[in-house]
Amino acid sequence: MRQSRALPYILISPSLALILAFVFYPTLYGFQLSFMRMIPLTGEFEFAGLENYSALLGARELWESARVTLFFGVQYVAVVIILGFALALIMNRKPRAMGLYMTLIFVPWVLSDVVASIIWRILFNQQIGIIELTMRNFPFWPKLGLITTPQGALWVMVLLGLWRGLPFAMLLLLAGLQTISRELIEAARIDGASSWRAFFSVTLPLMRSQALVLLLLASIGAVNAAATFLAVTQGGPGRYTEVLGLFLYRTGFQFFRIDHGSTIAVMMFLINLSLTLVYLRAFRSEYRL
Amino acid sequence: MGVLGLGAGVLAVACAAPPTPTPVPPPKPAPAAPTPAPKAAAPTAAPAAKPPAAKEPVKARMWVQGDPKDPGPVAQLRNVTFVNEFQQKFPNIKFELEGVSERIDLKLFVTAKAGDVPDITMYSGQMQQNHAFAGTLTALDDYTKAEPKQFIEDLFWIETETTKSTLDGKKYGFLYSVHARGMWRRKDLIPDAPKSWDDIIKHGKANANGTDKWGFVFFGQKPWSIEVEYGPFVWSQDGKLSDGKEGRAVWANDEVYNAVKLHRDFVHEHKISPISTITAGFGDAWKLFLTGQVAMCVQGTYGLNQAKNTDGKALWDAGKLEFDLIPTKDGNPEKSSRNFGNGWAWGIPKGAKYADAGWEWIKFFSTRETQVRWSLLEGGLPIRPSAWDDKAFELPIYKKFRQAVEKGARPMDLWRTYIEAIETVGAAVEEATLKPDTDIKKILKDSQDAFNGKYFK
Repeated sequence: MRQSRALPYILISPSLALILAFVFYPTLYGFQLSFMRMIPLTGEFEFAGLENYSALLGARELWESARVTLFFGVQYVAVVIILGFALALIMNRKPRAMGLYMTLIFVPWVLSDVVASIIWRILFNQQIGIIELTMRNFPFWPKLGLITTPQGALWVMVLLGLWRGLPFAMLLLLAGLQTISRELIEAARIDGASSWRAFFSVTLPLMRSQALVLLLLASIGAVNAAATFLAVTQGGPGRYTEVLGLFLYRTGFQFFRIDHGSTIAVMMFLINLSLTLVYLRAFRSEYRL
Repeated sequence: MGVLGLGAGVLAVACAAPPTPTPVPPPKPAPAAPTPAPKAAAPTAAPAAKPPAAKEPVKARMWVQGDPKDPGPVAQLRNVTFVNEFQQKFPNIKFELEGVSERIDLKLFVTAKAGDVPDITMYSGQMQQNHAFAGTLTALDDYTKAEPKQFIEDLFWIETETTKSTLDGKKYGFLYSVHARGMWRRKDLIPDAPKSWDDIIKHGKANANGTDKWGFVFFGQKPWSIEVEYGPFVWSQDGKLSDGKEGRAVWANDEVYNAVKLHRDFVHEHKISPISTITAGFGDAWKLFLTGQVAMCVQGTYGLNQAKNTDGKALWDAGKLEFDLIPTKDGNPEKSSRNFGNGWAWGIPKGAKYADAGWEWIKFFSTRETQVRWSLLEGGLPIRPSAWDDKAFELPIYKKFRQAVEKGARPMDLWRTYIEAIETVGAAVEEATLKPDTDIKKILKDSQDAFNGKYFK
């Protein structure tokens, strides 16, 4: 009996050891480093209390990055949920050639960040980008190129995020739609509800769990976004697309300010934690037993 | 989990950093102006091969940029041909090559603190000051003293200045080629070399149509734009980016303002440059020039190989490409023109187990013969004036290259945190050039104060 109780713990202990060694320990060390001051390039640390937090919270670059991240996050999360729902509803009707559509929709999702970023850069290239050259014929398109303007560059990144994030959003929501009994929808229709009414009053409330998961994952992904920004715009022009993740990377790995990098990482962790708690509270009815 | 993973990555790097080296004294001022290069000495004979300290086999570690098995000709020449030739000369020394990604200097900072260093490594010449500050490299003075005098005298000033620490005057490495910059132009469109900023504007306007033909294109993307493009325009006015003593930013000055405004006006007022050039990457601007869409472009001497052999072959074969000193505000480039001189360097990390083997490699790589072969393929220029006597450098353009090396090449201003400094000012410059009505002085001042506020209380 004792052996059978211990067995699960024995079986998970290698994974647990790896997680402790490579996730928890570095994380705790990171928290510690956020309270230390590093003399540049020397590797020497000394206790600094809240100095790093104070310095970064007083730094214009941090607030600019936060503002950029907020703009990116709000646009991305809102649109990916709305479009994700739209696509999921379409796919739920099982259109003809659904397999082909699903394959095409999923291509951007399976690409790596770097490959997707390179494709995006080429598409919006001033001289040869097919999207850039095509859209330049429209009056609303900036004459000198979308990606060279601050707002334009950020929208290019939102579009890239959507291009890659939409497949997963659709898949998650489609899975939720497929668990909803058709009889419920039919019953609503029999009672006189229109399609829109049935969607908002029946379908949507039953999708709260999936919506919460998508909201959480999309928000955390938006806060942590860095690789695509590094590959497409490098945070430019100027610092107009330098999101928090990129600011962290630049500070920690390019400027070699490990202390400040750790502090930014802790701040991002706290932002993600706060978002998670807010969402869980807002959707708490899903979790009541 | 994403944040934790990101934090784990940062911290895994931090975990490698043990504490407490000795504090470093403040840096001595860098020289204000280049001294003329020493007169070319007689061709340097290969220094007498000093046998390794012990005859027992030595397996030494060498760090190189990129994949050691890269099949490209330049990598093959360095990693295979030269290594084999060296090992034939020194049969008891075997090099184990380890490939490092581009941030080789960062890896060196980290592993030096961990004590896990190779015996010889490449590093970025312009990061020399940071390496000296961090104490990552072995001073080579004891080694060089044992060599013939010519071994040190037969070096260009820019080579020595780049590989010498301004903190203690010691030499810490040898460049393995010199890179200088200048103004490339289309001779068929602009027969005479532009000498002044007004000339750039005049010729630029004559060759720009605002859509697909441009007068001047520059590499504007931060942070390296500060080295290649903006720095020369500042230095030619005797301007500064740092104070040259502590690494304090002083870039909110008239010379930097003039340089930034000039580039902003190229785009917005004179319309000789496309707006995309403000964020153009290293290869983007040069490619535009080589494919015939641009009349002038500041680029390195290393652009020659690409011009001759690939993208610019048609123009080169037609004799349409020329290289000159970067024009100056006063119109006297022979006297005032400056350009960013640098290169990759070889150094021996502090604590290397087989430092003598590393030194033999440095000597081997810096001989006249090796320099000629390497420079012709890699596209850099030899570090020794004597190597220029070789027939391979008879092309007239090489005389212009040598002029750029001797007359105007200089290293970057002194920075304690090199990348952060040029990244900060680079971002400010990008922002200042994006629109025609930006307050350049305020942008420069804000970024200067933000940088200094981090390091100087």
